[in-house]
Amino acid sequence: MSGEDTATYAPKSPDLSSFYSAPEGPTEEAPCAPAQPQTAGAQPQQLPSQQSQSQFSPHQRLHLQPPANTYFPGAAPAHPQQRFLQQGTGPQRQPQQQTHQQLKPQQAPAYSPYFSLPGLAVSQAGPVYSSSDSSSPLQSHHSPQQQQKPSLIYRQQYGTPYKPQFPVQPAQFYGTAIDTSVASAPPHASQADALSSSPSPYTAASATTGAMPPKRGAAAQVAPPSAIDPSPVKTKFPTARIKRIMQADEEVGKVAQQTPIAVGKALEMFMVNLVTKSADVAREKNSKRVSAQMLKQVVESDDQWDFLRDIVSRVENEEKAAAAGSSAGKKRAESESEEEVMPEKKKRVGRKKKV
Amino acid sequence: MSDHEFGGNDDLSLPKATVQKIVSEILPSSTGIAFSKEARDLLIECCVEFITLVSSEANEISEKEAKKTIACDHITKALEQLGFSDYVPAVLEAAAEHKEVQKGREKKANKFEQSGMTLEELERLQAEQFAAAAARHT
Repeated sequence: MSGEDTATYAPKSPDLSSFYSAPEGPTEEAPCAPAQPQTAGAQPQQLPSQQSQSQFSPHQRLHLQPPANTYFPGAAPAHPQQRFLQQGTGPQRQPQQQTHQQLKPQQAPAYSPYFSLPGLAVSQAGPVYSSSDSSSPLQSHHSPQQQQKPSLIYRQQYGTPYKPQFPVQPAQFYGTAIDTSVASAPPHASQADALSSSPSPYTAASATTGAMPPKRGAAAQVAPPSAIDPSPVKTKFPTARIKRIMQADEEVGKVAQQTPIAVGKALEMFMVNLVTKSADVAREKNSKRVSAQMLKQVVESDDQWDFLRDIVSRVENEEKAAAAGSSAGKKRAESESEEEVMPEKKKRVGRKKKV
Repeated sequence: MSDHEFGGNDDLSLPKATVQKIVSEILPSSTGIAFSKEARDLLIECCVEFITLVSSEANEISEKEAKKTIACDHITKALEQLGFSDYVPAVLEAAAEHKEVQKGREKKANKFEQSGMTLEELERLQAEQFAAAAARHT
């Protein structure tokens, strides 16, 4: 049989028709475009060649994945394969186009063709894959540093979406087995996505809204390159609030639009610093709760925080006053070292100042 | 509601829920360490103080440069002067990121380009719509 011919990713050829009709798919390489009925007939033939090929190609790995995938019991909202099997003309196109796009990266080591159509990928991708599909092109597109990652992503993400082509054929052999593998594929893809792109919190957002980058989506696209600081903080402070706090100082006049964002970022890092250090203190003391005293201890440990000393000593006073009534003895016993003595002295100083 | 209860005062603090969320992002539950309420409140005060400190320092710098608006530059300079120079790269990055977003927004706002029609086509469409509206009125 036509082993050599079909060995070159034959399944792709059938679906070209959809590209010609699709408004946005001109860049896809399309050897030939048989009519759709033919597609159905052609696939069974290609089946064996595909499988033989898979023995030494990366697809084998992909092929092996289905069993693993079944461990992820997520329910897939859409099953491209099923549509494919149904051979419906309308919905069928989407999966086909997808497989086309997803195949490409595997064929060509350079992702360049892919980069040229991030928007395209987004707009054409089906609802399920869109999250995994578009995010990686976008990421890699924006961050050359992550070039290696994308390759991983491709293997993971495109590995599973690629299956749509296998299941079509295996369907005839394994019957129901496909359904499970298909159903589990999307969750797997999204998991791989989550794993591989953990630094960027908004990947999903960027994917769903990739076509027209809103605030969050764009933020995610730019976020990955932040090799400077893989901050664990995903939540942002409300910039309006920051601006208000800044302008509470009467001397502060106008503030540029970006300034509260810069301050917010600085504040975030400031918090990370303080919180991790006070958590370290808590750990040293075998405590699971960071108390105000621990925070105070951190503040006083470094001159960098000297501007906080007033605040810290004031709060400490209230704390101690409350604590003194109930269990002052216990607290003293817990921390009998200098820390205990020092705060006390400071407290007194603080009180005198205050009163 | 809270604004009314606390007057303007609450405005000059940071939202507790947000701070708590960030704290738990910094200390995921896997670390087994949590912040006490008092510590969190104290942390919020420290944060506000930090903002005030940085902005007043930045304000001074901007005044020295005879600028009326505090720009990102002033913030980074202030951070350097206050001994937080290690924050600067990330801050710059965040600012650049924001700029990028802003650009994206402008693009999005450009309805003309999005419409995919030429100026002539749009003019014709407008004329048609005017005519239709006039016809409706008479």
